[in-house]
Amino acid sequence: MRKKRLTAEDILHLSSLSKLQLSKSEVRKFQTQLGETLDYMENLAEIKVDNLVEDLTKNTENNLREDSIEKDRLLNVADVFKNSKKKKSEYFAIKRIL
Amino acid sequence: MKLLGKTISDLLELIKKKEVSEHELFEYFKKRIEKHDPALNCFVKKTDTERVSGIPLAIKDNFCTKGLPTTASSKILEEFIPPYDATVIKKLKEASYSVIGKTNMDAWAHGSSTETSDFGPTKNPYDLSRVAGGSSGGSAAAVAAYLTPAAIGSETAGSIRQPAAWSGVVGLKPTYGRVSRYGLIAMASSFDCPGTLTRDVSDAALILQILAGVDKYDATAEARSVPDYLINLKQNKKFTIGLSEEYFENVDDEVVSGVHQCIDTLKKAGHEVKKIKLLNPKYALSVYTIIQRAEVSSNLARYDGVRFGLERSFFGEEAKKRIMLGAFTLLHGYYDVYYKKAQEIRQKFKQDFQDAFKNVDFIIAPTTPTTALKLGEFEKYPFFGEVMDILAEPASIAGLPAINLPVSLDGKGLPVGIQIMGKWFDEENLLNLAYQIEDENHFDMLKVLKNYE
Repeated sequence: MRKKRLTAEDILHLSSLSKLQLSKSEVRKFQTQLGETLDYMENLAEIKVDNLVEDLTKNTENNLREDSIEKDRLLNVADVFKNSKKKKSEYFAIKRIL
Repeated sequence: MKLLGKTISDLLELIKKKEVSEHELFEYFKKRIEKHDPALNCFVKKTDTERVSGIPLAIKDNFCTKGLPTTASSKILEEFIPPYDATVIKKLKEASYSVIGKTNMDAWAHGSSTETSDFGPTKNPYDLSRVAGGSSGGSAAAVAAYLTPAAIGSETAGSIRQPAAWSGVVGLKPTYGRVSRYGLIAMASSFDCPGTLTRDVSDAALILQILAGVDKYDATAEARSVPDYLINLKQNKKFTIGLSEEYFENVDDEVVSGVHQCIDTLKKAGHEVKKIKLLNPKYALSVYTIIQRAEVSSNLARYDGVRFGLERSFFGEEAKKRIMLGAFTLLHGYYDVYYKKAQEIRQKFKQDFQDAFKNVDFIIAPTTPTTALKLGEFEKYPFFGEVMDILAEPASIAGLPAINLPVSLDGKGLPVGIQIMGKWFDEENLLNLAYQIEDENHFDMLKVLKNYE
């Protein structure tokens, strides 16, 4: 496994990918802590993975339902907006994107 | 009527004989919560429901409960009120159980001590200066202190077994796919698994009977038939049990001797015990951390504060770290080195267990490397949760069922837990063996209740 050192720029890149804002002290702290975690992960290089079927967490098939409307599961408009902080008439209000 | 420490089976019997009413039961536990929860902090939201029928249960706060706040112990979901019940909740209600309250956990189930909860940690009923374990710490402590006769928890890797071990209760993590995850707030979807925290094995069987089975709202919940766990419990079966040295590395002496004491009991009872060799759990720790972080970064991407919850600046430190590490292991250029490699070794762990189960029926090991730690000790570890769950992780990455049983107290008076890992979907025999151990071993769960009269 290739050794990776996380730089402060890496941390900022990851926080921007993850849409998270970090304080300066968090950047420093995470750089060290995530670095230590990655160092530990290098032990996987000790294991050979020949002859593996790429697969799964279990042995069986997914159990899929009919793709149909179930009326008793439909939410009414009031329930749909109940947990939203901002709405405008019957729309969720969000920050301008463009 | 003295109810202290009664199991669900006991309470059902008392209700049947009309020695206690369902209403009295609900009031009894409500009073106990009012009296003892300020010191323990097991509950996030105490429930004041109109529904007082049936046996009250405590539910980990990452199961959606219709009309009742469900926070996953996070600021982001502090005011979230689900519009539907998780399948686990629906099934319990249909079987006449009610929700006495929602229990504290590590925020988003990220952790092993409930110290990442945005609403303060849960204390260990055996020693208030120590943690109850986690992430289902509130559920485990509430059962140990008898603020509820039993509780529902969830496990991604260790989150039921580890707090059960540290709080001295029975914690069952079924096979991945045995119980529906629908309505369980997603942490790492290829591991997430609902399960039980109970005062004995019989209650674990009783609740699993209700929860197990197919669910059209969770594609991984399997259609295979559900055996009668309770009837099967009392059959006198003999098993072959495997012990693997790899699970005893860096484990405290007192925990090791607790496990050996239990093994001796099993030998005397006529079970065969064999030495086996398994992949070292230290590799499971890496596999689990990489895949779980990747799934966390994807599952927690949905929290944008638009349809429900607050926006992303309210994430706590642990969630931020996990999301970012997950984003990293999925990056172009690192995906093969981390995520893909981890998936391959995950498969290797499955094969390793499959091979082991050709020679043994069960594997027994310590549940945790130590007994309960002091509050604040987690700061010493950069990925504390994973380190404390190291012995639980192999079964979780393979999707196996496993159970924690409290077996003894260490020199500090803290519970020691052992775990039994079984074959996929063999909860039937897993519970049978656990029942036999419980019967031979007699761990005194009532002792700690002297402090919680």
